This record gives sequence, C-alpha cells and structure tokens, in this order.
Amino acid sequence: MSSPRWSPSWRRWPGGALLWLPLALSALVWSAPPSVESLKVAYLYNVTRFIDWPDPPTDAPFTIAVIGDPIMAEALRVLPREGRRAEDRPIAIRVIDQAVLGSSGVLNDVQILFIGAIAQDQFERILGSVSGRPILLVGDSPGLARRGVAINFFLKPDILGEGQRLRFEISPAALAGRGLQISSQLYDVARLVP
Amino acid sequence: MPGSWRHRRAALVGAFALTPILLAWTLPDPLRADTLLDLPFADLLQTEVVAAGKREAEIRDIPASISVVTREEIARYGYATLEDALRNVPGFFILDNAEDRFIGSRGTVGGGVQFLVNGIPQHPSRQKGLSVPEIARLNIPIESIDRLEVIRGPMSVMYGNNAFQGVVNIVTNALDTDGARVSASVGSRDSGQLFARLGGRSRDGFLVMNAGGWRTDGLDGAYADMMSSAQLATLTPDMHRDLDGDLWQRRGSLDLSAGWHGWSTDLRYSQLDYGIYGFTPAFDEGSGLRLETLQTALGYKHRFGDTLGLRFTGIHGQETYDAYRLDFLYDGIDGSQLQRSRRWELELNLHWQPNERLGALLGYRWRLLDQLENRPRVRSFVVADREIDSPRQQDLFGEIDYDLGQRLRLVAGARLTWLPERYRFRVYDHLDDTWTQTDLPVDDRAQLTGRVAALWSLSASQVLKLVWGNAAQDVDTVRTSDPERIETLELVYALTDPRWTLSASLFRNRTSKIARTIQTFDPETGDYVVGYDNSGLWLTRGLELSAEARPLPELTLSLSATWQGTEDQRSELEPGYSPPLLAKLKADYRRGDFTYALYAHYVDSMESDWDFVAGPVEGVVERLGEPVPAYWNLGLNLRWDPPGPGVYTALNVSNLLDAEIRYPASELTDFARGLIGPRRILTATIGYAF
Repeated sequence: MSSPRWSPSWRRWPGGALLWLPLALSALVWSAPPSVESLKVAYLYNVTRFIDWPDPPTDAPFTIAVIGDPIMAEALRVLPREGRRAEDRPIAIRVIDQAVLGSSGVLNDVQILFIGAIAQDQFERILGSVSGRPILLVGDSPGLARRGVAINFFLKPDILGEGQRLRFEISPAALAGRGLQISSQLYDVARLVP
Repeated sequence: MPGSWRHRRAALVGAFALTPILLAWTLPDPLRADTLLDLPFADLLQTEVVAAGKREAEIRDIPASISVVTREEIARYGYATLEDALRNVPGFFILDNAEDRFIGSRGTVGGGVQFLVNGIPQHPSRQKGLSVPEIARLNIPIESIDRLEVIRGPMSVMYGNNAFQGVVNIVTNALDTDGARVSASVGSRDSGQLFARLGGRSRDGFLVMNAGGWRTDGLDGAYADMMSSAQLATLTPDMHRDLDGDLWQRRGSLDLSAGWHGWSTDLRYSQLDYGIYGFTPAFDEGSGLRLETLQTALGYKHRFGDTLGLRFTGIHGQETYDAYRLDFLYDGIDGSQLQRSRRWELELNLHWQPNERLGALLGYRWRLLDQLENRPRVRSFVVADREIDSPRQQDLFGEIDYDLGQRLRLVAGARLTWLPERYRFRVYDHLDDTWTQTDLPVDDRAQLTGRVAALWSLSASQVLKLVWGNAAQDVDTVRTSDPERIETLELVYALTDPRWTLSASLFRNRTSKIARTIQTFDPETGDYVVGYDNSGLWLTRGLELSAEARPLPELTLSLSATWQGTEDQRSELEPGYSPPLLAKLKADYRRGDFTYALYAHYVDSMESDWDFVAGPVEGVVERLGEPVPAYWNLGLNLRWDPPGPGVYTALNVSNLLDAEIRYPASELTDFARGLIGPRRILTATIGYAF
C-alpha cells in the first residue's frame, strides 16, 4: 500500500508554525479580564461611601464579614492589603463559619455581612442572627432582595448579548429598621426591589 | 497554484507576521482588582466580567433546549476532536460515511445544523447542485474550543436556512476561560495533533489566534466483515480487501479573532485532506478529497447606552471541494471532481431594551452565493461543467422578549426570507459538446418561519418552557425548489441547584416536504419507475432527560437519555438512521492535580435508508443495508494538570471495551452490514499552559 499523498502546503505547515511561535511568544503578555468577585468588591467598596452606619467611629476596624463564599472572602482581602478605609476606619475581613453562627460575639462590630450561595440553606438562621443590628446584608443569589438582603448582585447581559455586566438591586424594606442611612444617589445606579 | 489561493496564502502569512505586533499593541492597561477600586460607578457599570455561573443561567433563560460544554469539561474528559465532544452531547449522534459526517438530533438525520464560530455563521452546507460536506465545519482543533453551545430544535428565525435541527456555536476566543498554550498528542492509528494558542487582552481590545493540525490513518475494517456474500462476490482480485490506509485524514486550521473598541474581525482557514470510499473498494492509492475553506468577517457594534445597541457584520467565505483522485469502479479510472462556492453576507442587528421587561431584536440579512460550480471528470463517463446562477436572498427577522411580571416571560419571533425568483443551472457536456440550461422557478418566494416560547419561573430554581418553532432548509437537489420544513413543539422543565441540575423535555417534530423517492407508472414500458419529489412527511415524538450532580466538590456525575419514535406518514416503513434511544453517561473525580474521568455514549440499533426498486411490480422497496446493532462507546481519561502555568498531560482511551461500532449503509458506503467504526483508540497528550 503506497503512502497517502500529502499536499506540499500541508508539509510546510507545522514547520512554519513552530518558527513563528517563539516570535509571537516574545510579544505575549497575558492579561485576564476582572473576575466577577473582584468587581463585586469594587462595587461594595463604592457602596460604603453612600451609606452611613449609626455607630460613631471607633478604634475598631470597619468589618466586612463573609459567610458561605470563600472565593469572595479571598477577593475582599484586597481591601486591607491596599490599605483601603471605610467610615474613616481601616477595613478588616472576617470569615464566619456557618457552624459558629449562633455563637455570641461572632457578628459583633460587623458592618457588612456578605451571604454566599453555599450558605443559602442557612439563610433564615442568618437573618435571625442579624435581626435589629445595623448590618448591611449583601448577597448574590437570585431572589435574596425579596427575602431580606439589602443589596443583591446580579449579572445583566450586555445589550448586544456579549459578555455580562454586574448590577445590583436594593431593597429599601430590608434596610428599614436597621438604622442605616442610604444616599439617594445609590438608587440611580441600582434596580429597586419594592 | 491558482492565483486566488496565492492571495490567500499571502493573507495567512501576513496574519502570522502581524500577530506579535498586534499583541504588543493591545497590551496596555489590564484591569486588575486593585485598579477597579478607583473606578467610579459609571465605569464599573460598563466593565465586562467573567462569570462562572453563566452555564446555569443560560440553561434557564434561553427559550430552547441547550447544552453547554465548557473548556474545563473538554479537558476533564479528554475529547480528541470536536466530533467526540458532539457525540457526548445529549440527544446528538453522528454517522460516518467516510466522505462526510451526518449529525443526528433527537432521532433524525438529514437536517442541517447551523455552525457558528464565535457567533459568525459558517459556510452553509445546503446549496443546490453542490455536495457540501458537513465535515469541513467540524475541522476545529478541540484544544481551541472554550465553549460549545448546542441548541436543539429549529432556529431559523435567528439563523436562517441551515438551522433546521439546531445550532452549534463554537467559541474559540474566550480569553477569560483559557489563555495561551501549546500541546502535542500521539495515539493509535498513527494519529497525532499539534496545537498552539496565543492571546492578549486589554481594556480596549483583544486578539486570539488558534492554530492546529491533526492526522490519523482512520478506519480499517475488512470488507469481508462489512459486505454481504453477494457484494463480496462482485469484487475483483485487484481491489483492496480492507479499508486500512484508504481513509487517512490530514487536517489543519487557523483561526484569528480580534477586537478593538467596537470593531471585530475573524479569519478562519481550514484544510482537510482525506481518503474516502466511493461505491467500490479502491485499486491503488485510494480516492482522495481536499476541502478548503477560507472565511473572513468584519463587524462593528455600538451601544447607545444600556438600552440600544447596533451590530453590523460582513462575511466573505469561499469553499472548495476537490476530489482530486478517484479510485473506484475499475482500475485505472481517471477522474476528479471540483466544486466551488463563494458567499457574501451582510447582516444588521438592532437590539432594543427600553426597560427591564421588554427586549427586542430587529435584523436584516443580505446574502449572495456566487461562483457556484461543479466539474465532474471521469473519462468516458462524464466530463461536464455545471454552473449555478448566483442566487441572492434577503431576510428580515425580529424577536420580542417580554417579562409578564416576575414569573412569566414570553418570546416571539419571525423571519421572512425572500428567495430568488428562480434557480438557473447550466451544464456543458464535453463529451456531447452540448449546453443545457434548466430553470427551476421558485413558486413561493416569501418564506416565513416563526418561534414562540413561554418561560414560567416556578421558583428561583425551577423553570418551565413551552416552545413552538419551525424552520426551513433548502433541498440540495436540483429537482425541486420547495424547502423542507420542520415544526417543533417542546415542553421543557429545568431544575437548577448549586449542586445539581435536572432537565426533562417532551418534544414533537413534524418534518414535511422531505425529498424522497416515489414511484410512477410508465405506460410505455409497463414498469414502475423511480422518481423524486418532496412529499415526505415524518412525525417524531420523544422524551429527553438530563441530570447532573456534584455530590462532592471533587465529584461530578451526569446522565442523559433521549427516547424517540419517528413514523413515516407516507409509508409503513421505519425511517432510516433513527435510533430509538440515545444515552450519555459521564463521571469525573478530581484529587489534587489529577482528574479521573469516565464517559460513555449509547446509540441504539437503526435501519439504513430505503428506495423503491424500478420494475413491473409496484411497491418493491429495498434498504441500502441491514440494520446495525446498538453499541456502547466507553472512554477513560486521566489528566494531570497542576493549577497555574506549567505542563499538563493526559492519557485517553476511547472505545475502551473495543466494542464493535457500525454505521448503517449509505449511498457511498453501501456495505450491507454497515461501515465498521473506530476501535479502541489510545491518545497521549502533553501541553504547556502559559
């Protein structure tokens, strides 16, 4: 059986590609687009400028707690690493294990509590733990704004259907009774949940 | 080399040379996490993100049955080719007749599937007077695929002719998914693959290039295992006795995708050089076929805020089918067949979303197919030049998406296609020195297709979809201008959870105006003769179930099954190429840097096609071959892939149990017992991710 015929252009193909590769690699710098978590961190950081917490500034850091989302907790660490401040206080990140949620003091001096998808089955218990406290509840799962979360992130497809943009919805009802003052400017960039 | 292909080679060389320069130019200003902190809200709102949960959101929100295969899944299961990945998509199966691959969906084969690469429609495979193999659409290196989006069901409203059974969108430029890498594979049947990917991204633009080549010695069944005794008796001593070495394949492809501000450009070049089987075994080197496709697209998009967007796309494509060596029928046959087609397309899309509830799309497409020619050359049999006048086509289409409150969403769309007045075929027969012109008038030039869907969110995790849609596809025969039609009604239930998803779909397809053979009585001869029309009518009813579970973070299980029954409403015979059951199983376990994966697909037994037999007796039918048995194709993949840049390796075995896979007889591969498919294939891969 004679060997199959190869067209000459095909024989040169792999060689040409290998010669070109080092040249192209020399110009390569890999840059990735932002992750949705890093964008949520940026949004959250911006949001702190539009909300006033009732407690006067103290020596305690401005604490953002995270339950049920280790990736978000890691992304939030950029804030203390970059020396960012909120309410004129340094920012600290606290990861809360669902198992210790009922322990006294675990939510002391927390200004923001981010509730991740993994903690959804404990949502009602979490809500009970923060009842009456001046803690801004933030989430990123569908329907949370109607269940008691004040700010809920969601992804909105681009008008041309390419990629997605991060948006958030605000629930005034979830803010009521917590003593948090929110600027009306924030409503201009958010979707209101009645 | 023809002048036009010299220009194409120059364009490719230019693309290679410019890539590093363009990469350097698009480098500046990546968006790092700390940089984002200083952006005002207005800029944050315009920042595009990478979202891991896009797959679940898509399954819920798209008014169709959709399967998404991610880069990660392709790597976990070690699919060697795009065909392998599609064979493991719920509801899909692929038949092989050596020259082409036929994609079956939900029990039927023969309907067009519209292929898109990065959203750009690929060269249509439905063109009158031409044989346009689908296999050219499958020549995309598996390593270049970031996502595979498979929509089952007629989608002509959005994608026009060809989207008869569904749409496959292959994404190869998602830099958020995967970055630069190189890889090499070797495997059984002397198979091998080389691949390289480069890319870069900045705030204003991106550039991705994928280049790959693949080779294999192909299938190797013995004719004694595939032919009937009567067929074997017709073989002459100088014919090959098996397929070994006759069905080799050499594939190469290059795709370049770039964007800067609102502009985008895509270039795709594909070449397949492969051996085929035609009617009889070969005598010498075997028949050879080369498919060459070059496609370029230029696009521009502009957003007038969040509520209005405009997209313009221009496409130019060329495809050449060159059966440069024919080796069948008799020894020393001197023959070839050259077919060409060229495509020009302009499409304008206007997207409007005035509020959260209402979204609308209005689109216009103009398409011209020209340089359509078919030149068969078999000395003393046929030496002809066949040309088809350039058909123009215009489409106007639109779709509205409306949220009726929090739980119900309606989608409705329609497409009006203005077909050419007639198709004109001209044939010059060199042997007779005669010109023949045939006009095929188009009776109904206004072709309307539509789609209506209702999506009801039963809860945050459950959605019920009721979808009705129809589609039309051109019949590639010159005998009729009426398109084939399909109408689908489908009820889909989807349940999604962070740890598992479940989907169930009941569907009913009515496929009409199918091109088929008929019998008419010839009073002069007294015989029943075979003719053709498009009076075929099939009815398909089916159920499709899919489930995926992640009981542990490192363990994923999935299962799908598609049951269907198709009835030929014009005869008592079971339609060919219609397996009653398809099933897919997948399981993978990740431990440290290793992934252990098992996958399997089941294809039920099926009949081949049938034809009437001319003669004095009415109603005599004959199948092309015997029914082929059902089979399981089980595969294993072991992958070592430490996080971050560095080396990765994989070892894959497909058809681990060396099950006998047979494809039913077709016109070209009319083996009574079917064409024997691939046996156990072992593939080893090594790569480096930058």
